[in-house]
Amino acid sequence: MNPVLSISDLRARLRGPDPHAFVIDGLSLQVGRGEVVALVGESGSGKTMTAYSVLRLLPSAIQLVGGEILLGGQDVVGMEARQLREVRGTLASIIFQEPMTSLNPLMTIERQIAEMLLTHGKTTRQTAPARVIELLELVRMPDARTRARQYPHSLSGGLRQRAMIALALACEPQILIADEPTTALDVTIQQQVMKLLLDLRDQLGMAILLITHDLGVVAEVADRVAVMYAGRIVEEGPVVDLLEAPRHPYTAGLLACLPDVAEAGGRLVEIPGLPPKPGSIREGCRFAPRCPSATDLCTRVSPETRIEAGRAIACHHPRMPA
Amino acid sequence: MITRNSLIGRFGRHYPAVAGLALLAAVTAMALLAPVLFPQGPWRMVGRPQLWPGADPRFPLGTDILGRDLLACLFYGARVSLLIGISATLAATLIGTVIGAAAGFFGGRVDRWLMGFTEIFQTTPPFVLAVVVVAAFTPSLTSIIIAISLVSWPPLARLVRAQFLQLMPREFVLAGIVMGMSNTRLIVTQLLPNAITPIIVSSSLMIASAILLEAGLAFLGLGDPNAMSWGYMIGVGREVLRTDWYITTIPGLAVLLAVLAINLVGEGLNDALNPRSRNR
Amino acid sequence: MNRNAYDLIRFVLRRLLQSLPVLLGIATINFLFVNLAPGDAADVLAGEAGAASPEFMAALRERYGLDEPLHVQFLVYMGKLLTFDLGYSFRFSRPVTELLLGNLGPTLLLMTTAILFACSMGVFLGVLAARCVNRWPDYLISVGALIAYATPVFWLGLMMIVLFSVKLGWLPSSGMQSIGAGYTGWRKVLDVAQHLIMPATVLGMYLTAFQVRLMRASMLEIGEQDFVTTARSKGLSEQAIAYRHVLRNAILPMVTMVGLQVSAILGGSVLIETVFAWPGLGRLAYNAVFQRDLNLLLGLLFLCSIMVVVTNILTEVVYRLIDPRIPLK
Repeated sequence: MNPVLSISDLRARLRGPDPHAFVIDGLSLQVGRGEVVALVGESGSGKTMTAYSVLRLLPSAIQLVGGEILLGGQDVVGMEARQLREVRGTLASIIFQEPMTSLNPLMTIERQIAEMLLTHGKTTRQTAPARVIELLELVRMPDARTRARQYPHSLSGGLRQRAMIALALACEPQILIADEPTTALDVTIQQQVMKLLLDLRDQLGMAILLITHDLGVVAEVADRVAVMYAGRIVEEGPVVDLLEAPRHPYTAGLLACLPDVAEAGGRLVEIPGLPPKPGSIREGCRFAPRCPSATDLCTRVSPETRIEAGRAIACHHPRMPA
Repeated sequence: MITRNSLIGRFGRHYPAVAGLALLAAVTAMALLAPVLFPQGPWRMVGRPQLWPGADPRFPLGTDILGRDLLACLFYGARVSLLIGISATLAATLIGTVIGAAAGFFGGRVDRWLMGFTEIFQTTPPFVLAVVVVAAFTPSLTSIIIAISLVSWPPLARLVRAQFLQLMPREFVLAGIVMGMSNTRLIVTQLLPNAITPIIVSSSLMIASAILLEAGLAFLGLGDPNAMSWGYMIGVGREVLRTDWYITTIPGLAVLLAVLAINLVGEGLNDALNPRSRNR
Repeated sequence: MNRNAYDLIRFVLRRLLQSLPVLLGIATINFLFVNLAPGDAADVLAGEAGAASPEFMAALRERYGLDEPLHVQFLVYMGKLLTFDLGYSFRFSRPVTELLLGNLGPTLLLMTTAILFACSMGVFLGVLAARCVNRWPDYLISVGALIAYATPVFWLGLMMIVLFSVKLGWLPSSGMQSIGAGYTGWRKVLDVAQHLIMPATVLGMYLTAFQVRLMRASMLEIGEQDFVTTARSKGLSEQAIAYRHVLRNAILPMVTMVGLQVSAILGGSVLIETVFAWPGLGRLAYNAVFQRDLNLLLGLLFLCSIMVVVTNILTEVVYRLIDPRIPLK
């Protein structure tokens, strides 16, 4: 089966004097059709930049320098602007962390969604309003007809995120990239929005790449998990296996921080130390300075990624499977 | 000591500001040296009228329609521009600071009345008001300075008020109140010193707008008849604009350069005094 | 739609009502000026007539109510203001209000053109500077703005006359239309437009400089906001993003700037109209200064203040029409 999204050996660096300031450092990841993959890591690990790079939305301070991103079989990295615009929204679309700022304050919800539909020729000016209301009803927007004509400021955070999801799904993309879609919302609203995303996945059959630091959410919704540290995937595997038997010391550390993995809203906190700044570690494993089982080898040689029994891991001294 | 991060150091790395300072120094030198270099004053007819610049080596910038030496006029004009610019700014700073400080410090009804008063002055177009004031009291250096300061203080009053409102809840002010300091003492020793930076910056920029105002007034014939000023020179040259435009061009350039110099220095001061505002 | 119009009218009326105290204050200050200024209208008239016997002066003062106590004069003055009676211009031998209204049109035309010019140039150059940030067009525009701030407008007007009228002969140097040409219809519009180019450009120069800097800053700031990334993720072209999303948001501070600068523009129009012999309020002001016609000057000052108040309300309305976040309440 062809994956919807296939990233291999992706590299992106901060523009500036340091050529080694990699924000994404040789990342590979695949997302299959209809699959929910969670990309997990501390803030600063590069997960948001990975999400942005899929649609080439990186801020101007960050530059893609290598690798390949296949979206529905087409390489996004080398794509021309015109073709890129056609892909955005139709093959993949994205929703952001902050629903308060991700919609244009001066345009009605209807216009913002209709703009997407019209840009990709999915509707005509006459039929656009009806289609917009359909979409808003799809994301269970209460009172869709009235809301469509309102401006973002008169909607609550949860409703704005629903509007944003409706916008993202307008052209029926094969994959939805959700960058911490619930972080800025109240706890009860978080669960509603997550449930909505899963229901829509079942209904429309799109894949979801979920960027999060909330392991509670991961346990509930993801099929597969990829753990990211300092611009790389350090461990990847099916959600149950990985959460129950982490093999990378970093994953283990993350899980150890949780009082109860199953408890919703559990957050990644304290592993001693901080993630390294881009470019600060040139040799060896990026996690070595914080790792309890680091050896001399770890500080000298960067570990290769090995695949064992459906799981990928990049560590010289992985924990034994239980 | 001049280090990279000292005030002078930060100012010095701001090249446009240094250029502005050099230009300003030149204008000041012109103002100071005028009586030394041209003891006969600017009004004497010294040569043939309407001599173009370079036509007679005695008058490098030429002569105006009455045969007055343009260079001498330019030097004396610098005196008037700086004198009026600086005096009007000092007066406006005083008015604005007193009103803004009182409004910010006392708050409540005092604040409402004073701000209402300020709004009255902000609603009348400054230049038109200045014209009316000078025209009502015959034009003289004093009436011009009064007029310019009268129309220039409102933005400063608002600035000082905003600063005071920010400072009032701070601990050192509260401490002063608890210690039983008198209001005047509190304002002068605690609040003003902490609000002085933006006052200095906007006052320095105010000199530039005062010079422009003065030039405009003098151009309309509302200058002191006994003081040679750049605006007056422009007005005189206008009569022969079609043939001898240099008489108008030269004093106008002088105004431009002087104002530009002050703006550059003011912006440099701003950057040096609030290093954080650089990135705005 | 009707409801919006209703809100709009209520908003304008309320703002007008709120401006009354300020206008009252201005009127008071005006009145003080009349009485603080050395000499009164009788002196002026008597000076005009040449010989002035004390009896003649007294008769004049009685006729114009100048012998009444100050507070009575003040009440009379205020009463007259309410009916837009701004007194009599002794020099022009006509009521001040009539003179002002007769000259209002050309000034409004000049100011509106200058403001529109400044805003469109501000958008154009500001967007250009933001797109080329820290490259040569950006530097050039910044230096241009810096020089524009420092240039005396009336002098720039004179220099443009030298260049475009005297040397090149492209544009007329004075007036609002060609004298004696008797154009009608489109020819007349074209003729006025030709006369308008230079004064409007020069008058709008300061505002242009302000708007360019503002536009550049807000384009850069708004370009980094989340909703622009959203727009990009929708597959919109850079053109559509710049115009539909960024520009609309960046225009808001420009609207506020017009309100802040309108009084400076009015002041500038006194000088510009004098330079270009534009038959508006500014030229009237110049003549009033020249003839020491204080009544007329004070009327002008009052009218200018009203214009500032009205423009400010207008900019607030425009702001609220563009930005749905601020209700018309």
